[in-house]
Amino acid sequence: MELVELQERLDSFKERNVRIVASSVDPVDKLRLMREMSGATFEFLSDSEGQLLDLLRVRHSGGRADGADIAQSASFLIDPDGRILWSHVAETYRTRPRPAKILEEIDRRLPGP
Amino acid sequence: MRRFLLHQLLPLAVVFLGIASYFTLATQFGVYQRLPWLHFLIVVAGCGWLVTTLVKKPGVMAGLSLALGLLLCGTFFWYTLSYSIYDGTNAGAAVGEQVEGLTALALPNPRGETTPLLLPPETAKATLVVLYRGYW
Repeated sequence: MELVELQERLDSFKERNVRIVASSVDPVDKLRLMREMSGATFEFLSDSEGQLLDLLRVRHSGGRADGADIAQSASFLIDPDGRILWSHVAETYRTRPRPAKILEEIDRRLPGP
Repeated sequence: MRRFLLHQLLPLAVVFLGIASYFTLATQFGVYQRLPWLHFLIVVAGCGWLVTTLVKKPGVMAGLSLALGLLLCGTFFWYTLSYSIYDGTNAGAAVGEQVEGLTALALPNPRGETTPLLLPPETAKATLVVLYRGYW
């Protein structure tokens, strides 16, 4: 699971001063369940109104079994000014980037001090 | 009985193994593959074995076994090549693009507090935002 793998490499992200935030359209209670289930200690944010999905243009209209809109699985590396440094938008759950690949991209785009 | 086990149940088990191993690897071990070629190969080999059995020893059971094998194989191909591909994939915000509104965006966290999506550079050089489809 992607979130579990990220948690396992969390120290590597912290060393690079990169914060991880997971987000979905789930309400806060389901977000809490997912956080507990994954064992993640990084921040989870509830985008129940889909504001983030629209800003990042990853809204999957009717993507949930009940017809509700959800996020396309995606990862964005964003600088403090809101500039996209790197992104990966999945077309299937099989194509999510591994933490090692993300760290490689971070090193390429955010060279150390 | 031995012939039935060897030439019909065993190839069916191979087809099943190809499918089951795909889901086991993905869900239990996080092994994701854009296209699971090895599993395709295993299920096709199982079906090929069933075809060979039917050609060599035609019969109702051989026919039924082949039908079941093809059904499993077809369902697996449909799942991996069509069903599991998200409809209408958007490209998302482009690399290099400065997205208006991200810096001001704050969302609730599991503790019910509103938290900014992005932090100032002295706190974090960048934020990796991972969007997941939700708790099912």
